[in-house]
Amino acid sequence: MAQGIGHWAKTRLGWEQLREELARSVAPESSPTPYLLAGAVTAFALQVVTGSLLLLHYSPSAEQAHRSVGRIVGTVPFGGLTRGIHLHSGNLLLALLVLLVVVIVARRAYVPPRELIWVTAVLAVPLGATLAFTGALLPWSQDAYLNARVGSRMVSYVPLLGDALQEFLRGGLDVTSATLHRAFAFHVAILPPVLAVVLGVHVLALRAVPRPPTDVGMIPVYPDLVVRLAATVVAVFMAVLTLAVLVEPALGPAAEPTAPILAEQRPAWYLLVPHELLRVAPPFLLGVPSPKFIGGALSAVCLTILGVPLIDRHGSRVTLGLFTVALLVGALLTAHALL
Amino acid sequence: MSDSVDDSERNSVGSPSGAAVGAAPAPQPRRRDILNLGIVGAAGALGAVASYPALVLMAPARRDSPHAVVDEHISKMPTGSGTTVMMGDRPVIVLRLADGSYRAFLALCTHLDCVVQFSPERQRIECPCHDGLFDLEGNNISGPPPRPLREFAVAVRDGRVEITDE
Repeated sequence: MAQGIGHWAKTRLGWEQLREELARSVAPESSPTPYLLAGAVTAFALQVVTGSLLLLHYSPSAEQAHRSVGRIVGTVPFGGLTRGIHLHSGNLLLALLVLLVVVIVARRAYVPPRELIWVTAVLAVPLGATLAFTGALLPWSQDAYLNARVGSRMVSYVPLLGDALQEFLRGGLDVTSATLHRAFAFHVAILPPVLAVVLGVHVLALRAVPRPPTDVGMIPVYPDLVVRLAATVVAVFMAVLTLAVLVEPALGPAAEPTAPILAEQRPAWYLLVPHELLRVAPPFLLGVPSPKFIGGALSAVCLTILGVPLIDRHGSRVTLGLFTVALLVGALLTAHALL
Repeated sequence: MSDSVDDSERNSVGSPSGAAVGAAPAPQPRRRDILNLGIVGAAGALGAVASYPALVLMAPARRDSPHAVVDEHISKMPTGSGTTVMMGDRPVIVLRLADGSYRAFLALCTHLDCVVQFSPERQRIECPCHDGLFDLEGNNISGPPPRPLREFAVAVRDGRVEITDE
């Protein structure tokens, strides 16, 4: 019976043709890119599933948000585990996206005609970070409230559009329940499809520009690569599940602007580089308010990174060197912020 | 669709014999280009028209925030203490100095809008986000804040303390 249904579906979906096609295509054996992508897609799928489940219990208003997350963690069966998987897979997704960019640089896989592979990989990083940031605002804890204040104020330093952007993101002049609601809309409805499209275009671009078959040791996509990718999916799932069982993410006190803040406030790991720069900078740099200066400098760096395939058309060693230096500086600043 | 265009093209331009097919291709792409341009243009115009209401809708609603606060417990504050009250959605830090007078400031750091608070031990105003420090006059004395805190007027009438943002 089950076999009959399987056969029925396979013939109608063109399963055999797909399998034959994949068996004819080959992929470089040594490239880590397919595994990173499989990991990222797994993490993203976990986000969609657990996020949808959390959505059934979450209430996106300043009055209710913190209590509803408290209920999810405290009384909803498997609620804490689901939230744990959601948070850990979000962090993992962002880490894998960063790693994907690093791998592309190391393999010099950004030179034309691979511009789209590069641009989509680079764009996925801030998208993943914004998803993580807006998600962290949703419990509307004291941390979340301060992060919302600082994050939206940082945007106000964007030239020309700054004030309008800040008001747009806050949903008004001040950080209020409307701010939480906008973060909610971005987190659950607007950004996930955008990230999905960016990752989809990345995969299409990867397929369109394969490496020359003589390049390295090649393996058939089916069954060799498919089996390895399946193993990657299982490994990522198990890793996230284990992490979620062992480490339950904290839920700080509810947002209360008049309550005393006891500890020094530190943002999430992916924001420690700008945080540390903002903390140690004097009020003005070259006569410009330091947040504006730092924001401008970091934006310039990001735009330059986005334009790497235009600047370095042949995979120069200088690019690799500059990236290594940038990663080291980032790691040092992160370590300094943590110590 | 494209096949039927080709056929009509051939019928109108070409001769009954197959010999003209070789000469015909020149006008064919042209007509198709114009059609494509029309389709893309129409889609673009539709998108532009549709995006206007969407953009207008996204703008946040303007709300009037209160510009004054009267709080019972401010009147009972001991000297040398500080507290934070809300003026609508904005936190306000209220200090009662040693001489019994009041000072009130917008409790938002001039650096990046973090909520500042009064430290009774160190008798100063501190920002927990980027280590900015202000004195009891609201002046920025250390760290990244570029300006003093914004001050509000405080009036004491019949034992009631009223803070206003004019």
